[in-house]
Amino acid sequence: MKKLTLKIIVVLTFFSQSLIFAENDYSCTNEYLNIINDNNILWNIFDNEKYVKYSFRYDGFNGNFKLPFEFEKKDHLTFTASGGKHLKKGQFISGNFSYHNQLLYNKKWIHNSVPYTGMPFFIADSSIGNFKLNGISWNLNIVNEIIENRLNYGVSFFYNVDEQIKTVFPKTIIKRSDFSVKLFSGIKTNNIISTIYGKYFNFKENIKTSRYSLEQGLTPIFIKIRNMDNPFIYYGETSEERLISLQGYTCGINFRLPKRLKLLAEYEYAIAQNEDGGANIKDQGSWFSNRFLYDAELKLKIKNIGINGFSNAMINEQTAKYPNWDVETYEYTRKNFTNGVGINYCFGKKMYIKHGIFYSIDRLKRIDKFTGILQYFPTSSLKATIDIDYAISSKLNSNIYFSLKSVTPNDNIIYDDLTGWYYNSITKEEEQYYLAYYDVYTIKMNTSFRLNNSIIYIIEGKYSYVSHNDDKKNSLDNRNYFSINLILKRR
Amino acid sequence: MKKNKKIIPLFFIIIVAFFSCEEDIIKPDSMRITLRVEVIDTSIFTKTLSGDSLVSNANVYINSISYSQQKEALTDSNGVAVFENLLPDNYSITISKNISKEDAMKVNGNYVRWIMSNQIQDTMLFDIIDKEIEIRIILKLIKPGTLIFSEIYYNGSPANPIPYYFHDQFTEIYNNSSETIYLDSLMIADVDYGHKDEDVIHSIHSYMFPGDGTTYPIAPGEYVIVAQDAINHSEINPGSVDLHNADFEYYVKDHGDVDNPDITNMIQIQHKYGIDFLYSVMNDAIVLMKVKDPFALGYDTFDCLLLPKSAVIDGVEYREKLSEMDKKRLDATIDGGITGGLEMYQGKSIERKFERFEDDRAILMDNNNSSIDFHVLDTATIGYNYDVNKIE
Repeated sequence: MKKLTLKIIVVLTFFSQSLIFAENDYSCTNEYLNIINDNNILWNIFDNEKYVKYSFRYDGFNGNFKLPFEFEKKDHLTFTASGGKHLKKGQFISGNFSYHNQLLYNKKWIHNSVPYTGMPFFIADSSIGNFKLNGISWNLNIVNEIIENRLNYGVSFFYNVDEQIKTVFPKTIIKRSDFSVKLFSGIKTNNIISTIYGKYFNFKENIKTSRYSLEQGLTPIFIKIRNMDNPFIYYGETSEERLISLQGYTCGINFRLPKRLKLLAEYEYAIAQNEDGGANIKDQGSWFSNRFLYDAELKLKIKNIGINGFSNAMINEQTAKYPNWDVETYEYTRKNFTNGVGINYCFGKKMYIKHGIFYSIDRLKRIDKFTGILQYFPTSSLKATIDIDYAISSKLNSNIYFSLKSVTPNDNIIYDDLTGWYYNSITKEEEQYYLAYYDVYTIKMNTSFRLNNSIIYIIEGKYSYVSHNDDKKNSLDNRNYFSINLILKRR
Repeated sequence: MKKNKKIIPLFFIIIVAFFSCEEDIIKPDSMRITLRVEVIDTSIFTKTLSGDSLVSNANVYINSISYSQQKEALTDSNGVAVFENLLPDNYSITISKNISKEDAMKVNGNYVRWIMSNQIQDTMLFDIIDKEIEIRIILKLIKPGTLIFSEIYYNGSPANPIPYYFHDQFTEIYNNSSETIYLDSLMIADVDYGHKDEDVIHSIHSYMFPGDGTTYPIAPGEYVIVAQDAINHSEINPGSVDLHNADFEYYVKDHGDVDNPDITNMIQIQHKYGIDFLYSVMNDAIVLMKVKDPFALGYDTFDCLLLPKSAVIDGVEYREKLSEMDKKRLDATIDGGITGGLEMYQGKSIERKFERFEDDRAILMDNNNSSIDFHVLDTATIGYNYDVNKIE
């Protein structure tokens, strides 16, 4: 029974911890590099069991509480087949294959797939339109044992290819191909489990607009945006093309004292180049990003009550250089820091409850050194959670989670002398978003049904509602996020 | 529990360390620059009239090539024009000043108007340290034209009901001099993009006025209209122009082109493609020239006719985007600027500005710079239709 309780605690604390990083899920401002930030293989390097899993997932967003270049509405479907098995003793292979289908509605101007990574280079046209995406991704992991249950090493490959098409003129086609390879090694002693890893990634985004002709009866205006003001504008005579190539590396360490501490620390460096083709070639300059994050959880137990302390932080510093002159023209800093405390206790044998309260500080600073613009937006947020795990029967388990997060902007600083039309129409709208008071209400439900010893059905659902609660009149109102994930797992 | 005692302080040290990372926020410096343009005239004119070579009251125009920014300023008594808060970029700088007949009379005894002008194209203005750039430009003397383009309607009509209607294009030529000039054997040509030859222009289309030397005179202050198709276009597209009374017409044989038998046809010299002499509705350069033998220099490898630049009497360059000075087809000796800035098929037109009256005859502005000399009309006007009350 003790073992079962411990397992439940480990599972729930891990689940709760992942919620902290996932708390921004309602927003699509998740950073581009996060698309392959999956550390499951690293955490479970010594827990390899044969499995086959199929999942169907839907993610949907809508509402106007958003940044100006974000879509108004999104429907995203993902079908995933995954599995893992021992090839031979001491060698485990696992992987997944996913198909993505996405429809974005009313995305303004920007052709880049992910507008808010911090990178200040965009290619755009003057229309607002829908984007359709189809794509597939693979992930393959191989883990080899050197010393049985003591020392492992492995390699992980990831490849994503997709194509996104703007459905209105100038019918932009965006082709992405993303690749990463990760090497890792894990060590396990009686008290410690630790994994170190290094990853190289290379993401490519090729954006092309259709060739312009008089017969189409339209005169698109192409916009090349660099930094926070004064974009280049081209009245469409012909096609535009841009290849964005982003590459970098990540290194990190996972460390666990199974009953007391869990720690992850990661450093990431990335560099990007934008190369133009088409009618109006415009050098865009280069972009650099340094990111550091840690995520820690401390566990205490006083009698039958578990007390967990959480802390995580992320610091991301980005700079961009002017193409012709070796000078820095843009600076972006994002710092996020969250601390929390959780209390866990059991009600009888079937119910386990965890309360949590988290306080976060978020600081965003953007400087356009070319035109002399600075924006600094500090915010703080308080989040309360309750997470209930209930075993209805030996075959049927359910989990329900509620959270309320309240975000308060603190004293901002803005310097915006001599700004032009782009600043006044776009950058100011971004200011409005970053200066908003808002609440996020989230409910998550998870039910798993074990058919027999080997087959499990899981339904996961999540709904978040973001509500602007400022008295000030502005165009932002609310945003909804809904997801459902149907999983069939066979061991 | 003992181990916890070691871990807890470590945990809180990390937390405090991150809390203590305060932001240092100071107002950023921009990379904007101040440009000082010093204008000098090494000829006898300025020295005689003002005692030194520094040119005061000269118009200085700057165009940012990447950004849609045009600015203008007058030089002060030290011959300096100052532009502040400019974004670093590649710029084109154009300077122009008129010398009146009266001033010219004082200097050299000839009652003839002159233009002092020069241009720097595509120069990079960037200074991260001082943020102040000084440029010195020496002006060149240019004689103003006699026959000039007073209006070019190239824009095309709005769809009403026919879309992409460009057959109503016309060219208006004006005698800006005090003497009668004959159009006979003068040529109108368009200029191909992408050639940097010093002495020749590359022509896609060239059409010559007929006549034996004295057949088609234009009196001082008079104009002629050359139509693409000399018909009443308002019957096809209401709101378009009536060109059935035009003086001349471009006509391309065997290509289904419209021919008004009552209107004199221009003589085709060069016609590379198209059913007519179509001026681009977006970007083009049109020149008026007098060439003895238009075929003397032959053709380039793209079948464009080569014509001597020295034979150009007047030239006008227009573009949809005015900041694209880097894509100019005509150099500063013909046209130092760009006019237009029109989205196509708006029914708008470009017209030369009025400068002054001379013996009841309108003298139109001619600085060899269409950025200065031309303005945009909301509708095309056949015949020089300046409004005395709206003289700029």
